[in-house]
Amino acid sequence: MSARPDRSRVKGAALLVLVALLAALVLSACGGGGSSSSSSSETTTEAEAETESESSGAEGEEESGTETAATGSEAWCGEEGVTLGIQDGGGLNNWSKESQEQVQQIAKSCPAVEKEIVVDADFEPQKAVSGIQSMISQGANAIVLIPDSGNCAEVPAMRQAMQHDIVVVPWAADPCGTEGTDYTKYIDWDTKAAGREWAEWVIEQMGDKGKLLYEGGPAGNTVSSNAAEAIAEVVSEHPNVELVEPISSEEWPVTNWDPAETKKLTSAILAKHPEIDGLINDYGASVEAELQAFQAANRPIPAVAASESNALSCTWEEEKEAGNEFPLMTISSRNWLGRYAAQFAIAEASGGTPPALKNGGVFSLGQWENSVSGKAPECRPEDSPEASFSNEMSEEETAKIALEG
Amino acid sequence: MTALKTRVASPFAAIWVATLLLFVISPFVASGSLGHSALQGMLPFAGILAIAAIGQTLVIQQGGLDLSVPGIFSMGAVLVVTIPGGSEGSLIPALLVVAAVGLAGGLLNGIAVTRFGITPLVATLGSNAIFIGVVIQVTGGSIAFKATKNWQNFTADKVFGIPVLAVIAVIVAVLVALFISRTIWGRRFVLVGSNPLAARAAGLSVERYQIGAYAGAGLAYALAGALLSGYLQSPPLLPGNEYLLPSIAAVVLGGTALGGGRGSVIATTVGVLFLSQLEQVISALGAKTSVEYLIQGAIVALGMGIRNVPWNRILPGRSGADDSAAAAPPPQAPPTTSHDTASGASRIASQ
Repeated sequence: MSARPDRSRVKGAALLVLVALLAALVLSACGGGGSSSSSSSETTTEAEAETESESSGAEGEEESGTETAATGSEAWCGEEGVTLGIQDGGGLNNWSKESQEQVQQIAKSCPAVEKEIVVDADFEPQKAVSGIQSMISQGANAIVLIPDSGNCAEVPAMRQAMQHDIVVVPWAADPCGTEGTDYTKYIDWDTKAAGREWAEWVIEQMGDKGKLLYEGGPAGNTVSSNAAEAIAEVVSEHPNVELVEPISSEEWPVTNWDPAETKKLTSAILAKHPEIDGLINDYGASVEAELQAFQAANRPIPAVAASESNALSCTWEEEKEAGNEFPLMTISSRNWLGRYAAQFAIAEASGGTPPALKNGGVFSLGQWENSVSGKAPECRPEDSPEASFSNEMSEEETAKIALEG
Repeated sequence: MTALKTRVASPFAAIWVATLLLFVISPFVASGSLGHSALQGMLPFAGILAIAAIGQTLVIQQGGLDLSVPGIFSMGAVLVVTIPGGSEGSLIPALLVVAAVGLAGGLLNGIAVTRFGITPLVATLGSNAIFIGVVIQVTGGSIAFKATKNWQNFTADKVFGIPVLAVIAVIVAVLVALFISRTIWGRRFVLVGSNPLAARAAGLSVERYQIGAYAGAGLAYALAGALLSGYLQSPPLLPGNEYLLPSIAAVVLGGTALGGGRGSVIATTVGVLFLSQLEQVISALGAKTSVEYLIQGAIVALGMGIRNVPWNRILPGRSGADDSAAAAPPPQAPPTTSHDTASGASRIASQ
């Protein structure tokens, strides 16, 4: 392209930088979304980390992080002050937002929590590692994190935090390391139990015969891997049920948890297979796109089992009103597990009593919605299509799933 | 006969032949990959990619490269659902805003490249980060609405049984192709792309055409994003991420020169059809994800690489004019040596 004189280039570059700065200022002043961008919150904390590691103490803490409001206390909330690190390996979707809110609700209810440091890694392992290191240098004594920025990417940084006597509680994604060395406690749903629950229910709806389709997330992710393994096991127990596409712990039709990919993949599978009697998808927000492919191909929607999603429930309601009701069962999208992850971390760091978690902290969630014999799917058109209403469960309801006694 | 030979030898002919071959062998390689249902599933996505790739063609034809596809595409996708917030009455204003934002984003790219002399790669990479930042800022990290019913219905509609998204892509491709080949501005646009110095010597405002290419491309990406939102009903936050590499691959497979000048939006559209059908066939084969990526990558690399093989020297019996053409300086050579080009440019400029 064209060349310009050097002086005008310098002037132009300066002007461009000025415009970019102005744009950033305007955007930050009028931001529409309400929540701050992940990157900016990390930048703030990292920049301040250096200052704080030199000056230390309460003065620095007042300058950065979110001051929390004390509204009450529980047995898990001890006396000693806590600087709580909250990290998400991802951060750019509704699921991540809900997860962070669940953790922060708990932090705000404990007066011992003096400061929060929030980092979203945007699925960048380097950002996730530097986020944890930033928390260490800022004096965090408890870290609650979703370690899904990459394949086991957070393990070395988590180990480093443990070596600094920091309580590390990964949740909602397999941390890959060893309890006691790489982290304090791992809290999650039992993905194999979820796979069995989905498969057994769908096969029952299929009348114990026919063809079953499972679609999972990105290749290699542990949620889909465990679910696929469990589903394949259940199918092998039912001789009249076949899998439309072969699945195992290493292989399944990949949607990348992306609606466009899901729709394309499902269209291709529908073109190949004239009969599909049951669907399982481990990401509820993608199922809407899967069902659209059925509708576009003028194929009836069969029995569906997935994780919960407002959009999926709304599609179910629309189809029901149109006289095309299909059986639907969902499992909670589990953001509320973050409450127990936060309680455990705060208890360990503040001298409180950690919650007595069932099954070592890995729970079988059971069914959330069941259009055939249970809680009917709930559609709220005014809410986000990705909203998960199981996060509104009361303390008593979640305790039944997660706590001993 | 000479006209036919010229057409067959055209750099844009190869993609037609390859696509035709792919469609012919599809049913034999993967049954069902050419059925009605398969085509109905593939064509809407091909249409969306084609619109984005047409934009990329304009930029590449001007010797540029646009890496801001994900950002502008995602802005279009997000704005068409967040502005109406489910209200049908706000759909048209939302579409106008999408168009304006696409144009503005493209203009920003064009100005950064031409007026400020920033390399296209760097300028569009930087602006892409700004656009993605805008998307996250506007949405707060998640999209709270679905596309309006009218927009959903429009994008899922069919014209004589053909998905409307594919029809729109064909219309856009034909209109852009006619504009480039049949109007004075279009011919000047090609001249500026193939030899900006000669065009400048002929009195053309080179920068204006280059900025126009980026602006048109921005409009195309934003429109493609808005269409995807309607088709998916609930779009993800950054749907444009999946459209950057395929848009460039389609342009290059179509035969548009990466150095600028020679280009065809029709061939790009055929390139998109080739890529989409290839994906369909591989999916229908039930290949593992790793194999799927390997096959796709290998075929695209082969398609691009095969153009750079000096066939004139390798194949026996091809000499004379062909050889001299192969040995001749590339079209991007300095115009000072090309009196013909400069005089041709003057003719076009004076029309």
